[in-house]
Amino acid sequence: MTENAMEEPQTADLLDAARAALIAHVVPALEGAAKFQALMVANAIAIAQRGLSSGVIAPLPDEAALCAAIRAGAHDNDTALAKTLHEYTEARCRISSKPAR
Amino acid sequence: MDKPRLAAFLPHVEIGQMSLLSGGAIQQNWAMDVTTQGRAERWVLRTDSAATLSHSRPRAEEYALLKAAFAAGVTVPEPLLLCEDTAIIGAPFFIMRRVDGIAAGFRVVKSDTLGGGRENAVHALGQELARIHAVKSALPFLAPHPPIPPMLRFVAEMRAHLDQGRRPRPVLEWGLRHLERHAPPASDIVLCHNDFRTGNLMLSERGVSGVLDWEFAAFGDRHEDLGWFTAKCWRFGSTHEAGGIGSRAAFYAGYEAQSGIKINDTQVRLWEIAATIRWAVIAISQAERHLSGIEQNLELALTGHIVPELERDILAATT
Repeated sequence: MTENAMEEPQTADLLDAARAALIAHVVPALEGAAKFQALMVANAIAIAQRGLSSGVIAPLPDEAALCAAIRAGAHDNDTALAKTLHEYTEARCRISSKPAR
Repeated sequence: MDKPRLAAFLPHVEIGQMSLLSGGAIQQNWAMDVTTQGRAERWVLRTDSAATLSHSRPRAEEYALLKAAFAAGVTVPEPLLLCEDTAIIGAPFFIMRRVDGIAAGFRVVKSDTLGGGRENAVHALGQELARIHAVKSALPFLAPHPPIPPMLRFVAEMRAHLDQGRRPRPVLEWGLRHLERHAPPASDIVLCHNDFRTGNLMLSERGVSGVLDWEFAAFGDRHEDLGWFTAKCWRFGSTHEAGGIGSRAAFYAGYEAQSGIKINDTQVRLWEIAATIRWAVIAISQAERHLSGIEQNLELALTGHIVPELERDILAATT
């Protein structure tokens, strides 16, 4: 991790604290549409936090050409590509989806 | 809502309380308590929201579909009247009888008693879907199905959407190619609801109280509707395979008992993959509304983040 002279607590810690405060103190005081909005805010913070800590997900090499080739049938039964797609999708899920409990 | 104008349009009706019901980015639904011919009645007025999607059916067509379904014995809110005059409330609207029950997906899948219990509920829903597929009314505004197998039509439509997207989608392409290679030959073409899934199905403690949201109905393959209902993405986190409510076997049994037609399970499973791709394409377009600034909205933004999990489901079913 590169050293960061930003004052502490830094970005990730602040997002953690903001989300925890939202869940502990704001959500319980709300009902209906406002509660739904607050839970969505908490969810958005959580996705952003996971995105920050995981860093950039590299796209597959030349995705546009890959898509055209898949469409044309050039990768039917391509088990190596299937494995690559699984790994790529899992990396994307680790950010976008709630971790399984 | 211009209540005085509405009251003038409905001379024999005394309008009491009116309130906007939840849900409906595309449509607005207003609960209306009225008195007519000395009787208290509970109605719903349905009209367009500002953000109406271009591919959503005009209200007049949705009203005609509701009437055809009601006449065929499908459990739908009874359609009462249509008004296409935009001078009354600013947009076309129709009025239907209000039905009791719960539709919200997260609540429905948690209940062991709604719809008369899980197995009764999905059996009855299978029967409802069979009644929809048996609707024979002339609905001249519905385009005839093109002379190609429905799954190939689906693949072509989804590819056209992906070609408009802001980035390539290799996993969705992978799934579409799988469907193209395994597409069943031409099949019976029936009236499909096209949004028959938990969340659009009103259940009371006694049974099914209403099949809602007819705006996407069109001709297609019956297995497409069956797979949209049983797809994992419409189970709201529940493990019950039929809409998160009950067993696949009871759902199929209800459909087969009502229709006399044997369901092809292999085809339903292919249409479940199609359902997952269709929902991913819709989720991408909702996120796009947010990203493009057409409608900046956190719910639309978060909907985009459903896509990776849908892609995981597609890979699990095709590799």
